[in-house]
Amino acid sequence: MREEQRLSVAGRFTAFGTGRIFAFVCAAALAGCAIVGPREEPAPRPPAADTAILVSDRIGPYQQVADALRTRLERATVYVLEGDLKAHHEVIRRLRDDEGVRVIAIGPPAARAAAAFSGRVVFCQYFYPDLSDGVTRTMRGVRATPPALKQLQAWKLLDPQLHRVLLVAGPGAREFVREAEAAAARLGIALDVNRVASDRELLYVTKRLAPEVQGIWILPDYRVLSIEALRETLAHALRHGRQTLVFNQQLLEYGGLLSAEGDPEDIAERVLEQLRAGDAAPRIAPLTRARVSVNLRVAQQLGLAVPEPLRGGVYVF
Amino acid sequence: MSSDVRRAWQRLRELAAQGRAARSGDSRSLVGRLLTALAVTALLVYLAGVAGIWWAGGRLIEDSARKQAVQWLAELDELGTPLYASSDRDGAMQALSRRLARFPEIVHVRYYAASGAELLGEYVKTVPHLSGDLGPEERARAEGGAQGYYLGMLDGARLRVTAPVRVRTLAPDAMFDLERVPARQTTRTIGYLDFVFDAGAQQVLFERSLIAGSLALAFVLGVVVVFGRHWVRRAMAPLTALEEPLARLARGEINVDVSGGGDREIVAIRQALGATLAAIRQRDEALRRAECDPLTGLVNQRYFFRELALECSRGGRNGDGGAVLCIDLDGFRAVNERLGAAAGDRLLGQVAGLLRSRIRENDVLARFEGDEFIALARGVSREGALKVARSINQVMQEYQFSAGELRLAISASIGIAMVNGAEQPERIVAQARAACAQAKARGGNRHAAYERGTNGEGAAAPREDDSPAWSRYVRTAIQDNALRFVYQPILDLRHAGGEMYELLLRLAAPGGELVSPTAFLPVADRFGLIGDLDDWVIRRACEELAALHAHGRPATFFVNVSGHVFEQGEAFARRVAGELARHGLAGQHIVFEITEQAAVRDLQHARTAIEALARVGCRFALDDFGSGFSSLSYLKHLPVAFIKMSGAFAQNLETETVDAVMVRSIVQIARALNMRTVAEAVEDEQTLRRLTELGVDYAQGYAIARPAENLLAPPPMAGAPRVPPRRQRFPARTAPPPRALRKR
Repeated sequence: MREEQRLSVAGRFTAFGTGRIFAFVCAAALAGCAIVGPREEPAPRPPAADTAILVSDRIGPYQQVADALRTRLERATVYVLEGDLKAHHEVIRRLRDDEGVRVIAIGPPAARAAAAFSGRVVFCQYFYPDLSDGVTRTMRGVRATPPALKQLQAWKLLDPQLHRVLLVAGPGAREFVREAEAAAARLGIALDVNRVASDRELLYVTKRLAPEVQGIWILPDYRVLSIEALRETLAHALRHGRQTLVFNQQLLEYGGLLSAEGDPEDIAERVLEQLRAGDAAPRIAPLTRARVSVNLRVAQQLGLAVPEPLRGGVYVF
Repeated sequence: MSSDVRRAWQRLRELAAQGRAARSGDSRSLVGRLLTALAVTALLVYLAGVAGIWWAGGRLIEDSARKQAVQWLAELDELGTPLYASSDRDGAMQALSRRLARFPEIVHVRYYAASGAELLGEYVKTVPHLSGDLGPEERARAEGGAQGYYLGMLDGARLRVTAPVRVRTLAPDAMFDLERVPARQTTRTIGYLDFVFDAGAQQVLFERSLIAGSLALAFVLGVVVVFGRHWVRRAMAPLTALEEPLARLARGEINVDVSGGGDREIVAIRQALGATLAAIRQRDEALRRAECDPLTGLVNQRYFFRELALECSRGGRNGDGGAVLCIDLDGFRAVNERLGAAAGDRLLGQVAGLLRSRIRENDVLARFEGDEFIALARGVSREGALKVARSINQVMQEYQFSAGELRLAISASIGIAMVNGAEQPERIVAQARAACAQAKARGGNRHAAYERGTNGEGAAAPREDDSPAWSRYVRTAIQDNALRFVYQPILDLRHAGGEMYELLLRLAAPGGELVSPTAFLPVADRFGLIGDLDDWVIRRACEELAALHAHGRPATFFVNVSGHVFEQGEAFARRVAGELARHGLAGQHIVFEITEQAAVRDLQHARTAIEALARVGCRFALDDFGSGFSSLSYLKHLPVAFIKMSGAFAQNLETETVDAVMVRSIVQIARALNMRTVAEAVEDEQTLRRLTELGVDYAQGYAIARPAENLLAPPPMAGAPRVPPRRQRFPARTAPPPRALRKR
């Protein structure tokens, strides 16, 4: 898809002609500098700071982390890539050439853009990165999913009778699955793990649950998820009285019972720890807290008494 | 060909129309039309309903099959997931086949890999419907479907559905913002699903349901028709109930009942009809009152004259005029005065019925006044009119009026006038009246035809059709003593007896001419003057007799009185006795002549009156015996001294041997009953001798003497031979002089 977009842009350049291309490139460079510059600084300047915060796009989870980092870093510059790396190749090129700068990549596009940087790179808000996605061995990162134990604790707090859960995971969550199994065992929850390879498998599995399975825990894996599958799975589960734990607060609108996301402050702290640890840092640092939201209407339909701490909208474990 | 079909269809329609016309006659029934409309509407509704049901059902079946196929697409798409995720495809396919075996509508399923050439799994229920690989065109058709699949009909009941099997993946950074997913989601085809859905079984079930529904609809509509028929008949019953009264109304009856209930519109019709009938009845009642006699139900004088005028005009044109019969009851006044007006009215009603039975349907019978009936016999000759009159006389002769235990014989006098187109209706009726008076003057219970110049017309007297004028004239004559007698001698054929005269009443006209009683007696009778006439006659006869006796001539007077005297009974006898006493006369010198009809009309009263007068010495003579429909048996019950035989016997004595036999028989019976016989209208000596031979006691007529106007002249009979010489007849009369109240 990206290849197709690139060919399409090249075709347009050919159509415009050489003179027009030169003028367009100059104008685009000027405009791009204006667009990718820090929100607080309208004109791009050479990186005078020692930390560059590369934000993949203007979405809440990324910007909240970026904001938390900025409050913690004195000399940091934020670059928002708007989801389009090619449009900001000049900024990326200058950051790559600047060996003294530390780069914090928020989101997968930013992480892929920072893969070629020579300096220290720490990424975050990236679910189950692996080498095939452009992440290098020298890069350090922070896990996007909150700790499995925190998530199950929150769920258990919401439903103390919870004793059997189906964990649906994609191919990239092997490590987290082990963590989840350990956490479930610690909390006395039987955890059925089903690894699926596609969204249709997700549907197939979640529609054929054993009757004693009380809830479905859907892990985030873009390879096996589609919005239709998520919507149908959550609706089907709700119709059959099953609880669901999802990875995005937006999924509560589809019928999810509770969501568990990473806390931006926790993520920022873990990112700074990775920066400070240097080469001794683990490749992927886990999060320590979980930010939990409960869909009160779904909880009411399922007959759950929502504890007071979870009634306030977002609760950080 | 088409023209033949058209002609055949036209002929069929004509036959159907003829059939309908034959069934319904000339008119169609509203109820029938409503019922037909109901049945046709129900049939059309049924046909439309069934057609709609089948059309909509067909569409519904097709739509349902399509929807079920689409539902099965989603189901099979999901059920086929293990084939694309598991390495144990055979096991997955077997599990899927076991599941699909429960559904007869899924007959063939195939799962292909993305290339369309590799078959991952297949389910065949009985017969395979799909074969070979899924070619590029079929794959493109499935991918290019607007709904994401291809759905086509294999045949009437089987659908083939081909759809890609797809998986979707999100962009890596889309996990944090699912609201922007559509732009960050990738779809990939991993295989194809191809299956055949058979809706035949459902279609059969559906068709059975449609048939059942059609039958149910037919049943419902049948029930609706049955109840609708009942409802229509019930609703229209008040209207159909009007059919019979309206038919009677169309036939001319107006005494029909159109009242009743019904809906508002029908009640309005009934009320309108009722109001119309009431108006018609009022109008008819008014017409009936205007042209009908309320007592007898006959038409009245006004109606009669209108019909007679029409008959006159027709008679004038066609020359076949009819006759007018004036029918006057004999002695009706006596019945009225003796038994009361109610009995008289009852008598008139019964007589009207009798008369109506004797005239034809198209003739006209009217009651003018009192007991006078006038009939118009259309298109009859003189002989026909006489026949009708005889018939009426006959039926009246046989009739007896019953009043309690009393039985009264009622007769009628009939005058006939012919309608010739030349006379005015009033004139014709007057002629009939004059003829009737003549018949009545001749003793009643007979008929007479009008003959111009022979019915008492007098130059100075009122016209014959002016009854009120006659009544005034008679009343004035009584008061002014303008009446007078002429004296008809009666000859004793067997002994040399004393003088005997029959007193004949005459009315002196202002010109001095003497008017026959024929002209005024019917009027006097009708206008209640007959009693006064009787009194005048008694009083005057006694005066004349006393004067004659004073001159030494002890004559005997035969005085004609009306039947009215019988009704007075003792009162009349007292008056007679008073008059006799006042003039010092013996009753034996007075012989009262009564007609046979007057006597037999009420035998009991006649007998009582005769006996009462016999006590003062008076005698009675039964006048004009044998002229009408006499019965010899009456003689046994009437204590009369004389029997005056009808003049017809004397006139025909020489030519009719039967008359001689009858005279002889009457004489023999009279002698057996100790009665004397008197022959009237003896006009020649030969007859006189013959009567003597037959044993008749007395005779009167021109052969003996003409009536004298003054008896105080020398007696004509003095020294006369027993057989008187031939006398000159009345010069002014061609017929025998009329008699007062018969012969007066």
